[in-house]
Amino acid sequence: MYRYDGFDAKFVAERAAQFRRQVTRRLAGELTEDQFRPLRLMNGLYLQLHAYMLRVNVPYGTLSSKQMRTFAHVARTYDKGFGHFTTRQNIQYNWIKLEQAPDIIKELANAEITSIQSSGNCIRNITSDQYAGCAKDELSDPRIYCELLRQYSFLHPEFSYLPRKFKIAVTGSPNDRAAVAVHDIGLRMHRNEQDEIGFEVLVGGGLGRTPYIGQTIRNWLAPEDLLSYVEAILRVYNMQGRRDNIHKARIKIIVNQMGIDKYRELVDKEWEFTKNGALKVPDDEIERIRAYFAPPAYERLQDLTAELAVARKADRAFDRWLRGNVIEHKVPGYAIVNVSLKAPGRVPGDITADKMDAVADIADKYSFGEIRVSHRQNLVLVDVKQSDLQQLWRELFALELATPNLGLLSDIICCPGLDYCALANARAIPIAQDISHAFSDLDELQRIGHFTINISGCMNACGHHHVGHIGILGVDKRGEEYFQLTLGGSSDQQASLGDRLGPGLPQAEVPGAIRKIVDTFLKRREHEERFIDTYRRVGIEPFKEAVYGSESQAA
Amino acid sequence: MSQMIIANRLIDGLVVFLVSGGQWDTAIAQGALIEEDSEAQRLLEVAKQDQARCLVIDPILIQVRVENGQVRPTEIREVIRAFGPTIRTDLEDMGPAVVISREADRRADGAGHLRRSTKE
Amino acid sequence: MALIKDGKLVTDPFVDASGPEALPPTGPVLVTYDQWQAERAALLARGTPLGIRLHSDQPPELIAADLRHFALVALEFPKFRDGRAYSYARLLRERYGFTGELRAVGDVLLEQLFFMLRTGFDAFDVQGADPLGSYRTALGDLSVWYQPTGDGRPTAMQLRRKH
Repeated sequence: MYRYDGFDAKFVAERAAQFRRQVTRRLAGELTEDQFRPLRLMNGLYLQLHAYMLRVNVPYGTLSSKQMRTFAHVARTYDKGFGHFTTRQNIQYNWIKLEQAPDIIKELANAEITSIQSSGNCIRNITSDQYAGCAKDELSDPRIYCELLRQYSFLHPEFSYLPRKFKIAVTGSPNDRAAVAVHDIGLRMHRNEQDEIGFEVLVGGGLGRTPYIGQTIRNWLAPEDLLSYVEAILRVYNMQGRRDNIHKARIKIIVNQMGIDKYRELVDKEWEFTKNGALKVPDDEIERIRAYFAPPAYERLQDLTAELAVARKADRAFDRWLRGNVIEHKVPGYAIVNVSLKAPGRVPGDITADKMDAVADIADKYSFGEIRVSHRQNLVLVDVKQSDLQQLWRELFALELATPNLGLLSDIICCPGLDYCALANARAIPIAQDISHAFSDLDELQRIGHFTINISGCMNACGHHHVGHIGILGVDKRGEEYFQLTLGGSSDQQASLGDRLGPGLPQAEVPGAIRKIVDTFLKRREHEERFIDTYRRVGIEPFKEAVYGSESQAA
Repeated sequence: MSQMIIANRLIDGLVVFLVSGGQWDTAIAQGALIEEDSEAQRLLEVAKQDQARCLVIDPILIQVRVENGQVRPTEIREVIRAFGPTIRTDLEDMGPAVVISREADRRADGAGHLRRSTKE
Repeated sequence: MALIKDGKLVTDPFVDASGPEALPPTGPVLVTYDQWQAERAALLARGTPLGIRLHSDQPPELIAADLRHFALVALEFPKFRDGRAYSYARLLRERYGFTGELRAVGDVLLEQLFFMLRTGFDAFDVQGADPLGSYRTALGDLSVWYQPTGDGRPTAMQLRRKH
């Protein structure tokens, strides 16, 4: 993984010192809250319901065990002993004190971690496929380009005060695990007719109040042109994006307002000037970064699928876990292991400091000391020997990190919601807890098959509800918390936005509604198809009827 | 129904309530109950001065009611601010639970939904 | 309000003539784009340095052909979070080749100083108790940057390749 050189280390150290000075000025009254707010947001420090919340970047979801231990240390020393992994592969702490924030940021900087631009109207964490570098279906490791973009984006002098936040995601696989279609810029690696690897560039995707699927602005972009082209997109957005209404300020609004063809025209015109300048990425720079992502010292091993089959027959629980959470690796003899942070009844994405330390130790022991964070709020160990799987499973099981529900109904995405977040209309976590508790029968979960439930506590959609097979949105109805369901969303390469099922439901009725939807699906399912396939085949009416009855109220 | 003034403390972000005497306390039980609208406006001005003096951020008036001697905001958002997250710690399969504590809880003035476990 | 130019506190030689009062008869003046459009000949006839002040919704394209007439271009930041002028500044310097004074006016916070310097501003209309002191402090803040702009400062990528 990327290691800071002298320049990177100096960059974050200077920034940490600058932030310390800004906090001192604030506490001394030299900066008002209005002046200080964008500065603290640029360092990922929010003021939430209970205290300050610090959002720390995990660049493209890649962490070393040392960095995980630093996360544990921060949780233990400065917070209440736990952290929360988010849908942008970041970690959040909910109980931070402003006066301690400079110390935290300094300690993080020493571990090559930053919270720079995890918030604010600037370019945010560049996210990617959690299996990058190891997935069988991957063309090329997307993280090289994520790192290139990360450095490009940090304290970009021209783009630090964009109309609104800007999120970029990159996938190196045709199976999109990074949700690129719902990002401001989505990059999909693929080969052109000359068999060269480059990027399809999508622009104007996003969730929130007005969700959109991204549109293709360019079919194929050469890697050397990545920065100049992104700069052209950003410059047009910076100059022409709306600044009159924060709910209409994302790039998706202006792209859809003027149309993708017009936006492309403006970008191409701008790109003429930038394409052959200082932003052209030299080959040796790409190779320099690629060297950091060189594969670890894999041993030459045989594939052990047959041997594992024997072990699986002997141990039902191990079998379930292997089937559910373990993914094929591109190197024979290795496997990708998903570490579930979704035990039934637990808070999705939360993990205690002690468990962070345990995962760090496990990563050292079994996976070359590296951990990945998935935007679905789970962790991943990407380089585990098949011969270690059973022992690893036992260790994870003891830590309650082995729930075999990856991609199943109880593998819920859930934002912090009104329990933590000042923006929320309703609580999201108790809903997730109720649902995962109601659907904790592992056999049933496996029978139901691939199913995503995404929960957001407000229209900002941090829980990605628009792209869940079932989306749940918390709304405020006359001072009470109600929950609006959508069906049929998806964030993969067949991205779609969910359709509204009907009027909002009170909290107590939500698990029952999920049950009715599942029952309807199981009745209508053909050939073990996934829920999303059944939905796309039969439409919303059967589900509407199941949940609301045959006298469905008008939408 | 009475009112009270709530804010976040600048230095640590914690939720605080204006007490009579003009201090701020993290326990809602210590917060000054305000009955008159004119008094509410006056105290809000005092609170805003504390904002200008960099003690607190965003002081606002909230509605509270007193039930069985316990003060409780009427809005769920303010209940959560006063008593902490409502996430459940009582479900089966929970195993070792996370310690979630607030200074307010230690003063035994109403923990709301919160249950605590010290196992880890 | 204090004017910092090239790292020093200076008196502003330009009179801000963008208000309702009549233009002073002589001397350098700062006018709006509307005034420039309406009174171009008269303004040029003055024979003294001319400054133009653009609002944040007025891209520099509007004056690109006339830049040789301006000794000063002032770009507005109506609120510090309106970041359009950073792009405008770069275009003025890097695309249209403007070499006169490029001044940041409006809600100019020294916390954004480095972004302004790197995008091409060389003068700042600032408030605050010790503007020059704050300016110098802010200047010392950062020495490593990743992105090339027209300011010629070497980026980390360029420096790495030298080694």
